[in-house]
Amino acid sequence: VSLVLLERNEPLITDDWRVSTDVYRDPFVFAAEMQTIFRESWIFVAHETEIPNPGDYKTTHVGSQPVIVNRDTDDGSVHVMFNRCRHRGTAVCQDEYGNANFFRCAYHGWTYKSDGRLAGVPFEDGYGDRLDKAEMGLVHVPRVATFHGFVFCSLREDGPSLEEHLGNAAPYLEAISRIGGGIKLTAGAQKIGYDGNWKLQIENTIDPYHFSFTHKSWLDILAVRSGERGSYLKNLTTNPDWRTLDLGNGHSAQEFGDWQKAGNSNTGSGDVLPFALIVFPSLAFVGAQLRHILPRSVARTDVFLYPLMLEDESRNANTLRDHEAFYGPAGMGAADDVEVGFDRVTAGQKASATTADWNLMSRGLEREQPLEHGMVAGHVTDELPHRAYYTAWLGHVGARDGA
Amino acid sequence: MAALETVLANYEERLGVERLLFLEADLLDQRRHREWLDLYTDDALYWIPIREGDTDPLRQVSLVYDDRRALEERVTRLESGQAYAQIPASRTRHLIGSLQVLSSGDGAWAAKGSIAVFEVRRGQKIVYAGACAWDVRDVDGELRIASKRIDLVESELPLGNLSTIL
Repeated sequence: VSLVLLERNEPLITDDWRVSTDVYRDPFVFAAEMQTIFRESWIFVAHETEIPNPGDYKTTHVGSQPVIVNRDTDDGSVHVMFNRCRHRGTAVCQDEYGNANFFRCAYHGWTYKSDGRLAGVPFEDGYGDRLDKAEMGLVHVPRVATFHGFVFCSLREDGPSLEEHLGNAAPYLEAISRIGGGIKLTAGAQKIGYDGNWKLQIENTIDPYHFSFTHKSWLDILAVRSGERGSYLKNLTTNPDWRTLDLGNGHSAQEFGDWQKAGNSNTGSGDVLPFALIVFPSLAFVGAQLRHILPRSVARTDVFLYPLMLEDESRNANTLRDHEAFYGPAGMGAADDVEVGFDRVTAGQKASATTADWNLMSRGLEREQPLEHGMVAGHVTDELPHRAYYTAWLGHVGARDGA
Repeated sequence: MAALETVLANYEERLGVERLLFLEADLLDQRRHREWLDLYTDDALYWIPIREGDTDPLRQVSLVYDDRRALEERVTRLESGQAYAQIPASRTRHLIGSLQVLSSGDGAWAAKGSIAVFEVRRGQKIVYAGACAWDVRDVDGELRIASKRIDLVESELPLGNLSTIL
């Protein structure tokens, strides 16, 4: 993989922020992402409210790796284990959610406890004394850490801690965890799938630049609802409190005013979250949702949208209705994102023989404002979040060069 | 959804309900969305749940949970020329099968059956299939759809651009 990247004549991303289309299109780049980012970084897998009771489990993926996230039946701790029988590789857990005291492989009956320990092997004498059951449990991913209910794991034994990785994004994530007396992912998820690269969804997530064009029909609906032309466009272009932030480590935020100031919950659109947030590499928060981006292949992506339900139940039903109107495959906004931001981009990016086989990600490069703690502020329509993301992305994928 | 303290509709009632549902399918396939909307009552509900089986729309997210206002917004959007998800527009055929019609005896009917929607768009063929339940009501002598619930077999799968109306 690293050889392929090394043999390139052109860099994947230039100093003036042209991004090679191979970043979205080349299966070797995708393989490198799986080998580096999703094996090295901290990857979101679940929120604790998805597995509240002992034995509760969720299956998901860390990059290309199928895992079980579950709660121990004895001590209630959270495990993340590869969903793979130690005998002949069978996936031992099939459902997306469930509750199980044991995982019993349907192939030859090997049975594992909720902490992964191998509890039983049928006809064990066939292995003589060569089978050390203590060593043959489901394999745990090397590191699991929880931050205010958000469960992350890392396939790497060492490296920065989760809190070090979150860095300047930590206060944002903590603030989300406290909204409405606490959030819970109990409403299920809308699932979008598209034939295109997973980073197109990342780029589309904090991108107010596209909103008034791709979603003009939605802004028109809002105008009819409120009886007046909304202030969105005006805020977007002239409100200095609306800004984007490079939070470092690939994370970014979009703010609609000082959300830390008591009483200021202005989100610009009446949503639950007072800001939008991308947590590198595959977690985001927008409107009233947790967004989990799941890369399936270089040209196939799933996106799970979990509406944020609050412990204070009073707003939850309205949150669902607001969410469904815009988001999801049939949403009056998201369907246009699938069409324009994913399908039309993927169609256009097939033009690879052009001398301009790259995307331009330089908007606002001259008006970046350095802040404390290594953060950078930008105009809300600038491609600062994209540069923040790809800087960290290069730190993983590009680090293969010469490695 | 109407309670099923009901009996099988008689032949004439069934013909009337069928005519309404087949007209709905036809208007959707012809993309005559404004006329399609006219088939719905003012308090209509159009629902595509996600979770299979019993599901509470106040606690579980749906694919679509539209009241009359939302349906009108959907149609207005499709007519706006700026609903890019339908540019170009889908060609569709709606099929309705295994239809059963129950009558309340006082101007309300519950129909249920299977639907399949064949869609061609962006050079791709897509099929949606599911169980469908309609509540039909007599409004000033005209049959109208008071609710439609579609339980898609693919509701829990990741789906692409579902901007065509099922």
